Amino acid sequence: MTTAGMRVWSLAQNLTANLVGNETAWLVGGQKTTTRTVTTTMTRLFSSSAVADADKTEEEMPEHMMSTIVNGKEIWVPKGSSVMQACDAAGVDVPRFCYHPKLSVAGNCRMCLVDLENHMGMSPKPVASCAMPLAPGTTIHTDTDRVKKAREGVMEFLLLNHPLDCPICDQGGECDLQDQAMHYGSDRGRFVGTKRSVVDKNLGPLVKTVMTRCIHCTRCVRYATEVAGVQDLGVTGRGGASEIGTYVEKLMESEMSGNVIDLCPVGALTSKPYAFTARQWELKPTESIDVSDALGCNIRVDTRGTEVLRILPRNNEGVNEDWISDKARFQYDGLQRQRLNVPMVKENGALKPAKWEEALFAIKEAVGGLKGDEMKAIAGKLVDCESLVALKDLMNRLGCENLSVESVTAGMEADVRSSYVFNSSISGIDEADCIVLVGSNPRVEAPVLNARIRKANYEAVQVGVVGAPVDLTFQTHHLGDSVAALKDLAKGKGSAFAETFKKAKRPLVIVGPGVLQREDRDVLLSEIHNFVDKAGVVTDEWNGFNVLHDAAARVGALDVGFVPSLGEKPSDKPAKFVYLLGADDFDAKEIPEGAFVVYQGHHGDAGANVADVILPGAAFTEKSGLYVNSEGRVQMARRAVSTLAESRDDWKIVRAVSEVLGATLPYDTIQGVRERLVEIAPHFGKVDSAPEKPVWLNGQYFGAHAQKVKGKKALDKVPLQTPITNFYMTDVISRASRAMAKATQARQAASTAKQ
Amino acid sequence: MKKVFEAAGSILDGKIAEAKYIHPYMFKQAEFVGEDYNGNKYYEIKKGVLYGRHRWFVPPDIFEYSPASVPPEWHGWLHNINNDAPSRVKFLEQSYKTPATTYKYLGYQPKGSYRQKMEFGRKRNWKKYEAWTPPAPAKA
Repeated sequence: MTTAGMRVWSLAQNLTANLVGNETAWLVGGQKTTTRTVTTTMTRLFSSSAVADADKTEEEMPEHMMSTIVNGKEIWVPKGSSVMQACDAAGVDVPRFCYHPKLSVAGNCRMCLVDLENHMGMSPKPVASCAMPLAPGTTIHTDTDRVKKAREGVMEFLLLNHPLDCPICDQGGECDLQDQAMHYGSDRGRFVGTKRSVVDKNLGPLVKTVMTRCIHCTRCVRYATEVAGVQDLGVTGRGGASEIGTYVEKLMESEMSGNVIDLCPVGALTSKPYAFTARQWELKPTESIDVSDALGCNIRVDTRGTEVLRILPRNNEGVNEDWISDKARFQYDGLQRQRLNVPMVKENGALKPAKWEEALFAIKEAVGGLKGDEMKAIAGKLVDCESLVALKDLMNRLGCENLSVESVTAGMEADVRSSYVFNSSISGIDEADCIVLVGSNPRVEAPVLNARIRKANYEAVQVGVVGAPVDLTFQTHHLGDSVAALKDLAKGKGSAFAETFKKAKRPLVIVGPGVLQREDRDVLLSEIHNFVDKAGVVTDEWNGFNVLHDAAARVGALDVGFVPSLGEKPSDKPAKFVYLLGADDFDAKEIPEGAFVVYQGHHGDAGANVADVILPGAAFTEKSGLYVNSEGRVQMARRAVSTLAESRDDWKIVRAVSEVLGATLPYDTIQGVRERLVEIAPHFGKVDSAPEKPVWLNGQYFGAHAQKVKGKKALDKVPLQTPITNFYMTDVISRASRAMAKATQARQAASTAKQ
Repeated sequence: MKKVFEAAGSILDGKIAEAKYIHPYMFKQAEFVGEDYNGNKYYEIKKGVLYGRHRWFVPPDIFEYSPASVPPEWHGWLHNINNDAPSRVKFLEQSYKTPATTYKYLGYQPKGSYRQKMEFGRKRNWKKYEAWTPPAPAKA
């Protein structure tokens, strides 16, 4: 492609590399000396809020900072920091079990004891640094004999009742207790009695418990209460008899329950599907992107050989913080079932394995002589942007404009980006002061986003719901079933919530897939937009009009323009040739009787069942692909394992088809495809960076839109609701997954038990 | 000669001596109840003896006998679980005719064993993924 495009791409890559490179330095920060200590996992976990810039020591101290001395080194930290945050800023490791930057401070493990000193002298006894606010004029010591002895003593107490079963424990090798016992513990214990044993709790099919290993840090209890918003976990009993559990045996009913596995510093809570499969040092980690929802959570895919063995979250404060949903975490076993691994061609009504050549020439035969308007392409939920743009270019070259993403974009326009992305950005939820959800249930559409809204709600931001009433794990105001409720809201009268909304300086409106996937979408969007205009949701500094999608490929498809080109209309003729690019949730009406169907994808599901030719593609763990999340952030999923048998990267398949059909695409490397993406939409060059705020053109856009829907009426009788009926099974991967099937069963059993 | 050894053996083994000599001769009421398929002979005294010592058996070979040779139905009578001896009433079909499970492949296999049946009735194998099989063609 063009050299300009190339330059943008390489610039973007440099930018990404720099960002990643600087991150470490930024997190350590705050040291006066130029040498930096190596960060450990513990330090990296730590929030960046308490960290000052290392290079500013010569300048005058800002108003909000204070200075302290840690082991003889002077550092600056923000006022209100804890002693532990000061130690972290200084790069001094303080051992800990119960403290977690994303949770409230419990101070019950006593592992983080340090010595403090002020003008009165040394503190009379060691102090728990996580719960101790840093006072002016305090000096911190972590290297005294007393601290060493205190750590040894606490560790000895913790190990009294901890079983010595590391060889058969799944946490072995990545256990905080194991590591810290090695670093800070004594070289021998004095305990000769009988160890306490605790009955295991059943938290459902995803989280395995071995409660005897529990050290009662209460991270899981605090996580469930504060982040996941379910009051399922708690502590029963006192002293030596205290146990963590669910009070009565019940399922942990959270869509984010798997995060307690990461939080647990010992092996008390581990992954059930991953149990006894591998050790952490056998695994190859690959940093990737989750495609189970439109949030684009940052994940780490751990593989051994050709198998994906587990998926863990990566920290990204702008997207998923430290969390991922259970679907993102546990659906990976679906990658090993129902796979398409060889091309297939239909012979005498039955699909037979074939060679690539035969499959491609079968397509050529079917397409031969067809006109562009007799063809059609539908893209699915998990498709990467490279294959989307390749297929779009191919279909356009064949003269076809019937492009759509299954269920949502039929007739949806992609001209104005701000009309279909999460404009305020996901971290914008933290700044919002009033939130209205329209036709959305983020608890199932994007559980991690829901946790973020919950966090805002925790800080007294009120949340209103328009649509069917839903349990979002926090208190909401149900405003009405249809968009008519928005009219009252715009007036700012009628309810306490309406008045709050009117006063709000940064109000947020989240339009969910419940609106986008309805027949009367255009009318609804037009009404919502009227409301947004009247209620002042969009100002010069603040854009609170947000669209939340329910599939990873939606925004990417609209960004590359996987819709009829500008000024073109989809033809009314029934298609004779249908190209399904990973599409499995299409409406049966969209495939006319007798049409020749090509299915390109990685799982045998609805699409493969109707196909005449199957082209085996790669799942998101098997290819390098760009995905755009709901807020418009471009992120790259990286190849963690190789493709199966005969299957190939999706864009390469489209490229091969184009050559056979005589409409050869002008790119034959992945860089070439990405240059083409940058040519269409420059933000594709800025991989992994925070999205720029899209230009707000919706005034003009919806002006024209209102003309289009004039005279049409909304189907007011049908309440707005999310299209997702089962959170655990939304796409081909999660439908093929056993873990998700078990989770579905457990959830159904729990809901019948309640009735 | 054999009789001498037998008598000596019986006296040395107090239980056999009691069963063979003391009960039948000291208490004339001893009643022969029956014999099982292993050749054990069963006796009973209804009066004049401590409860718990009123039923006994005499094995065919006093030098090699085992309480395990008592079949379940006779065991029930011997230990006063049943009132009636199998020689007096007809017992139902033996319920203990199950195959032995403690040897070969039917026995316990630890988790992860090659012979362990995996969940969903699937055995462990070396395939890393399951391929999709196309549906059978629709009959026209």
